[in-house]
Amino acid sequence: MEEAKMVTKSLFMSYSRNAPPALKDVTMDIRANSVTAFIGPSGCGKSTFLRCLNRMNDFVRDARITGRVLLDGMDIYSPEVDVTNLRRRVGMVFQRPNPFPFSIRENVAYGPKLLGARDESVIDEIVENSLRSAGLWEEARDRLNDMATSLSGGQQQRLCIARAIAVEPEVLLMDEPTSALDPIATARVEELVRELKRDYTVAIVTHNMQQAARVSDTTAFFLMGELVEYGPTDVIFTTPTDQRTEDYITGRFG
Amino acid sequence: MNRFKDKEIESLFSRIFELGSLTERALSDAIWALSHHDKDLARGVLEGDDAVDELALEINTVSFQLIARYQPVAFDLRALEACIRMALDLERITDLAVSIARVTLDLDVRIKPLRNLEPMGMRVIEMLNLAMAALLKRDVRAAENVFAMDDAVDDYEDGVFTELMEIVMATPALASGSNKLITVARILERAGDHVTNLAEQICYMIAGNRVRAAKFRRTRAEEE
Repeated sequence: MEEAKMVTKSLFMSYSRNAPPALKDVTMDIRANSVTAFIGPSGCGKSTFLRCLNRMNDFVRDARITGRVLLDGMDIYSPEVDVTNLRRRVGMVFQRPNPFPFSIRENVAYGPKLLGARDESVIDEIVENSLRSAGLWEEARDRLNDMATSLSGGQQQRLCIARAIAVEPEVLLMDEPTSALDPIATARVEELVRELKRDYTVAIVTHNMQQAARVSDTTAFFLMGELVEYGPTDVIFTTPTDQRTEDYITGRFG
Repeated sequence: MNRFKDKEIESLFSRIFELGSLTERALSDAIWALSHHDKDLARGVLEGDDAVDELALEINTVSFQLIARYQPVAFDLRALEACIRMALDLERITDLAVSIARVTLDLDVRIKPLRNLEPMGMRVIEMLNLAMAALLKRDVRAAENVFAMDDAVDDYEDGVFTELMEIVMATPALASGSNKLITVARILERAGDHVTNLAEQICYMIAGNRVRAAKFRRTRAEEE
């Protein structure tokens, strides 16, 4: 079993001072080079939790967080952490593909250039490698200078994944990455997720339980801000321990 | 959507119960026919086999359809696996009842009723009923009780062998008929094993952990 890449300890989070906590006492290990899926009904805290892992909640003005989030043992909420660098190490892919209004090549090159890459041949190499890893190279190689928006939805989402991995992150956070895609594009992204774990640690939020069952090694079930059950996906989907998990995954919830 | 799924799984269970009662009927008819030399009843057991095969096949087909349509997980998944396997075991038990009925039709000599054979058959039927009740009530403890009952079936089998040995020693002419009755004891012993499989499936379906029947059986040391 791989060691933990990220660890949360007694994580509490609320969106404002008087709001009920969105996360209650979440303690979890996210293992390196594996896919961890977060499932649960809307409002259960799974996306909030994902966003705590690279401090996306910093953008929420009144958010309050207690507890610890460690990346390779380093507390990512400690004052000396460079948040930009943290987000390079812990990348994110969103629900809807959000390519920049540039060419395909420029979308992928954007991050590396921001980080100081200048040599065009080095950038070409990064673009090719990232597009290859995202399974988009064969489709995009002859149209690298076309606008990213000319790609199909599924291709755009894979472009966003290529853009995320172009800066060589260690962890990839995915927030319902296939919810806007058709079944074929979804299958390609799911395949990609399973391939990505060789080089990255992947955490994925999904509303599609079968997707969690298909792509993840470990599944975490959230309910009303609590981590109810967390364990090997094979176990969660055949013999869950907690009745609430059972009710949710079999669709008998509520 | 889930109400539909629940309903379909429930209706699958009711078909398992129907199969269970057909199986019980086949087994008890086969045993009655044997001990009362009732060849008509034995022929009835043979005739009933097709309906059982059809129902078992239907349970398998419906289970696969539900798997394809709902991609079940957790209890639902275990329930469908259990239905597929239970249908198979029940269908096998009926096949064994048919084999017993064939022995009855073949038997051309009258051997006095054995002290152990009919009770052995009754014991297997009792196990089958208990397993079906455990399924109905989702009762793991009841299913586990089935395992220990199989010890008694083994004891009866030993009893049958001893009785037949005595009969053959006293009347060698009954050797061939006795051999056929030994076959029946063997068949009932295997029927008991199939009921044990049923109980294992039921335990897994309800509780989610694989129990091994052997854990509830007496050990070899206890046997000696």
